Amino acid sequence: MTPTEFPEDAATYIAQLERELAAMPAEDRKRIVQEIGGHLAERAEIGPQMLHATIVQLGTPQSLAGSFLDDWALSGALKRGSGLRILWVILRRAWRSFAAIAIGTAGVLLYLFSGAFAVVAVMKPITPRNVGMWAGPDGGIADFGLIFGMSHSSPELLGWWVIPPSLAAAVLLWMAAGWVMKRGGRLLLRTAP
Amino acid sequence: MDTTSWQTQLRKGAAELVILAILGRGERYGLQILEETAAAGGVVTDGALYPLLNRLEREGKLAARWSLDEGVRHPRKYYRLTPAGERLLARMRQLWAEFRKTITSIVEGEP
Repeated sequence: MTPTEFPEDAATYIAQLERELAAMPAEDRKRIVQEIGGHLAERAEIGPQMLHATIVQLGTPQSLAGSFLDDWALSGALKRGSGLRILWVILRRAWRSFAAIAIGTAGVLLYLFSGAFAVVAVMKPITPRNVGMWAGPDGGIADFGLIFGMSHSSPELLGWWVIPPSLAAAVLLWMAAGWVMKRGGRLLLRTAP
Repeated sequence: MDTTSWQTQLRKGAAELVILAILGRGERYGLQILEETAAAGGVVTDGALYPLLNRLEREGKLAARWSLDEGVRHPRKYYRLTPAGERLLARMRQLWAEFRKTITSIVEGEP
């Protein structure tokens, strides 16, 4: 049974599915469409009610294509191993998964903190007076980082020594973010709807 | 009290193991897998099966071949476990047995 011989419902479904999968490489798309087409064709042979029930079970072409595309994008990002790429893919699916929201939020925070520490390290040579660590009146740490528009009553404590720990924190947080994204991405693949 | 969402989560978690276990018995195509899961209570839906098979194949846990079977007018895609898939199934079976024992002991009060 070729697509042109399908009952109208099945042919429409397959055509929509193929359109929705347009972002995928042609070879992958063709294989998916052929497999789902075969599935519908076998069900259609039983009767129109079975075909209708099968289409309901498959979900809309949009949602079915979405599952394939989400997995394809996430698997590709995991294979390439870039934490930022994985984060981007996870954030795109966050609207329909609490787990994706949680993992995406953790990733955003870790990358932001990593970036903040990197900025501190980079900005110290550029504007040394505004970067550092200052003690408060009680002796505790009052401020740390890149600060404009504030005058401090106490002297800056670290001087140029603010650079090494900031760089180390930036690298460690970046690595932690990458690790969380890879673990989280694999978890999302396993629990995908 | 609505337990639909809880059941959905249970099914989602079990789907991968169920598919691997069915393919552990031998080569199958999608509809055969669905019919076997339907006979056992329908753990996997049509819409969840194919993306899952696609992912497992991409991860190297499954291998697939197309076949134009006698009396059928379209090619069928048959899946089988790869050595990596067999190892995963063995590990998941072991974890499942431990998990089932723990949950049974808590929920049903068995020692």
